[in-house]
Amino acid sequence: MTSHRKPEDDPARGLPQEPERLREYARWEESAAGDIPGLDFEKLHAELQGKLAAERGPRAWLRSRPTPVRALLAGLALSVLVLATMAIWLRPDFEVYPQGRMLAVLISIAGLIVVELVLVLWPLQLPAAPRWLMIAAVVGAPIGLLFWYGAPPAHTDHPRSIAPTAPLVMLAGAMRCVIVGSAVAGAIYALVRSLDRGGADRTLLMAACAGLAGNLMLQLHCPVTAPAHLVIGHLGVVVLCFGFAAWLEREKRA
Amino acid sequence: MGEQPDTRSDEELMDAYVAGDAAAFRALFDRHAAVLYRLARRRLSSDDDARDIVQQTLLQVHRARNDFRRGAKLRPWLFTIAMNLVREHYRKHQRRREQPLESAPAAAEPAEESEESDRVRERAARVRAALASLPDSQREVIELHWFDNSPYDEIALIVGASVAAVRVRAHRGYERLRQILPELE
Repeated sequence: MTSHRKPEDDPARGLPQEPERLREYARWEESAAGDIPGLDFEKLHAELQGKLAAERGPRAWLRSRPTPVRALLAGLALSVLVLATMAIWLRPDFEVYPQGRMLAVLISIAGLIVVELVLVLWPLQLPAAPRWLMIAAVVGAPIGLLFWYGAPPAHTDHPRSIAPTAPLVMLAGAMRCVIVGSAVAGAIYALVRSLDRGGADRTLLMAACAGLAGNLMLQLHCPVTAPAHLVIGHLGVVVLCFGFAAWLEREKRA
Repeated sequence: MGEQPDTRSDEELMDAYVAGDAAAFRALFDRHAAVLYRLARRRLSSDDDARDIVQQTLLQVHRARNDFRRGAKLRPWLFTIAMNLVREHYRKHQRRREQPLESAPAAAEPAEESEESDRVRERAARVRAALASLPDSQREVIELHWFDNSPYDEIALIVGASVAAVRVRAHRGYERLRQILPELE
């Protein structure tokens, strides 16, 4: 049995005084464990080799990239989303929308996306990020959006910024945003899921990230500023993403 | 496991594996699978769960291989991954370890050896119960230090705390164990 005495345990150096008998107990525990009866290492290795052999294809390649590269790929995808939306699908009321508020909303959403991404891509070989931070990131997504969407409209100076008041017509307009936003969210979710290495359940974080990406695009594209439309049509994308994540978790456990 | 033990260091093996040497991964497996198994088994309630943790740990090492940088140490990597996976397992299954390692079935043995084995198991069970009563942060440090032979600076990397904090946790843990295990007085 390997000795547990270590040079740094010299009491003269003021280090913790490990009891001598505890070392003896440690040896007892190891000898009780014996040679780990019943554990076939060759079989374990063979099973592991099977898992390693299955690590092929685009997804395996993506998640084996160094973490900074994975982050860069995610950042690039989001940048392309933003630039493409601004280039070919920019909201018609962009000129009259208060620039300060537009910047604040975009930075808020982008900032939340960055937090989600950092937590999703957090490598397992580092000490885990605090659990409260993960919960805050997930809960912060809808709350952060509600902060802006529940506020008075940014402006009503453009005819397309005013949502119809008839409920069904308003709902139909909101559903169009839900569909478009969810399509974007789905693509981002697929990418982020491909970059995730597994080992820790980050489904809700990925869902939050995807939902926020959908909202980022909608904020640049949709001219409607009415709170009801924003809550149902835009925040609804995040709710849908969480619902999808919950369904996915249930399927995994089934 | 393996014929000729590979004399390269863990870090050299990892570098070789990243460069494409599959035999290097086998050498890492031979060297660390048992240690990882014991680390996981001390914290989990079943042999199957511990085996799964060993496989998942090494699979994560494979997936994260391009994150490994020259000059880094592999052991903290392995242990951190394993402990993160164990914590994730707890979170999913919402239960603590229920069966001590020595509850595994033992082969038939002569009466004298059986008596000695029973004494060993009984003492080990007392140590295990005493450790289980410690706060997680103290227990982790003591188990890594005494059962897994990790130095304090390595433990600090694994648990994500400063070396000073790790020493304080170890000191408090041992003090508490002295109270629980009177033979230590």
